[in-house]
Amino acid sequence: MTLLAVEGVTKTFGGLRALDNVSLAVDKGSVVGLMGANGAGKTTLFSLIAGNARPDSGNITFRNDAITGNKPERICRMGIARTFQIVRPFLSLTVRENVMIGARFGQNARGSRLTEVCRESIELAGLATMADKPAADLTLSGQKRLEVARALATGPDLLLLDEVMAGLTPAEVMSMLETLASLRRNLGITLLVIEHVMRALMDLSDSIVALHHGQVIASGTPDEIGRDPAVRASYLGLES
Amino acid sequence: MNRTATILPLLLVLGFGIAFPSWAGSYTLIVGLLLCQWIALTASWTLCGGLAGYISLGHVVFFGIGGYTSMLLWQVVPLWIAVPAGGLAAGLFALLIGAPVLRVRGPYFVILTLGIAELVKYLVLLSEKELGKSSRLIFGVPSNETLYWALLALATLAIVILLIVRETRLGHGLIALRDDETAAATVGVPVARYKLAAFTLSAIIPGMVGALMVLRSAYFDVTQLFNAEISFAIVTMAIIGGRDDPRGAVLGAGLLLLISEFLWARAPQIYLILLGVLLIGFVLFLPRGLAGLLSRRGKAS
Repeated sequence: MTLLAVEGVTKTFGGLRALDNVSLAVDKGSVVGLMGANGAGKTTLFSLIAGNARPDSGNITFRNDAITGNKPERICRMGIARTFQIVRPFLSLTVRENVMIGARFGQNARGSRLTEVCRESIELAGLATMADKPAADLTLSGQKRLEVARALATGPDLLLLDEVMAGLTPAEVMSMLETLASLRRNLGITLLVIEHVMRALMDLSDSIVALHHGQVIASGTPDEIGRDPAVRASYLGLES
Repeated sequence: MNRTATILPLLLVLGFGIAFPSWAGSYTLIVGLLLCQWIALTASWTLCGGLAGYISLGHVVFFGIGGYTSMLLWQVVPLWIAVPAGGLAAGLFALLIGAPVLRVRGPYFVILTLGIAELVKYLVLLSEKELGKSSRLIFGVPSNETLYWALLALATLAIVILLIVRETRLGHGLIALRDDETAAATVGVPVARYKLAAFTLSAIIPGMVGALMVLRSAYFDVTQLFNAEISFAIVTMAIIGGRDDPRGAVLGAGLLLLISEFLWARAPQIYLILLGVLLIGFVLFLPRGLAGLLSRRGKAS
């Protein structure tokens, strides 16, 4: 069953076509990887899905509801959460308070359920020992985890992860991969993942969509993508 | 934050405020009345400027609209209707202009609010002139003691609202959107609605304060009522006091009024210079203001 469908979406910034007639579908319970060089339009696509920006044309549907151009807070409450590649923590708050904002506003959690959701999200993201630290005191890897925790706390069915592994050490990448795998396994959350760590993306994803200059140039299983001549030419810089 | 450390000193100040008129002379009572005025204005401003981070440099517009409303209604309706009417008019104005104005952030919002306040001032000035009333006398104004009690009530109300909002969903949403508006919206905070609520809420009490203060002078003058220096004073007091702490309004208003009482008559130039130095000093070295200093002391001991 298709959870998220993006159909013919175009977005231009000034004269630049960031996304050009992009379509893709994400099945419920799957992990879909989004690959492409810097400037390929991956983050722009996330912004359109999450409502941070409006497409010029095209449609986005979530569970068969049209969400194109809806406000981000509405889309969040419908069950889509995103993380930010350039982290955006609430710097005057602690880790727990950051996550609490997500739980309170994203899924109206209150009372003991609020406490429970926060504890769970913080634990899943591997921040349990840092829960009462100010968000400003976390390292980059900690703040990336906080992005995941806060997004999880909103109770999403679909989670958009924007380079949560960039800048992490190999050991941190391994532990983040385990975290993400457990999200799908234990919570049944569908994932759409932007990642530059290719091996991680290949391991994690059921299918991969490759973007190049705002266009989908290939999609398929990780194996198919790895063999695709267009992908090899444009992304890996190899002659086919 | 430690609730006792916040509320207990505020209660002590309130107790002092209640006992104050029983021994204050007529001049001292006016100082107390002014202190209540500034606390009420600054604490209201803090709702929007402190919690939501939208720094209004035109808050006098709400004070002025409230004052103008109550002046027009004076001797038509009793005081207890004129004052809420002033608050209502200011609140409605905030609600009306809020949606477009709150679309801009940071320095643009600061300049826009300053500009709107000036615009309204000249519109009122123009309409008064068209009516052939460049200034008006106000008859039968309430006594300073009556005004004192009303302003003390408004100052208390403003601080109570601030204390409550900080602990509620609205307050948490405002702090989140102050830190990062995009992130707040993305995790479900209804940012546009919350900003408008904070802006409107922060306008109502200043409207009521203006409604009372216009009756203090028995003489109505538009440029005095809409004087931009009132806006500047509010922001200065909030920053020096600590702009997201309920104690900040009391500390900032108290310190500035104290300084002005000592220096204004004797050396007005020094007063303004000192004000500027204080403002720069606090912004650079104590961005959390006097209240922030207290919190740090409290933690250290």
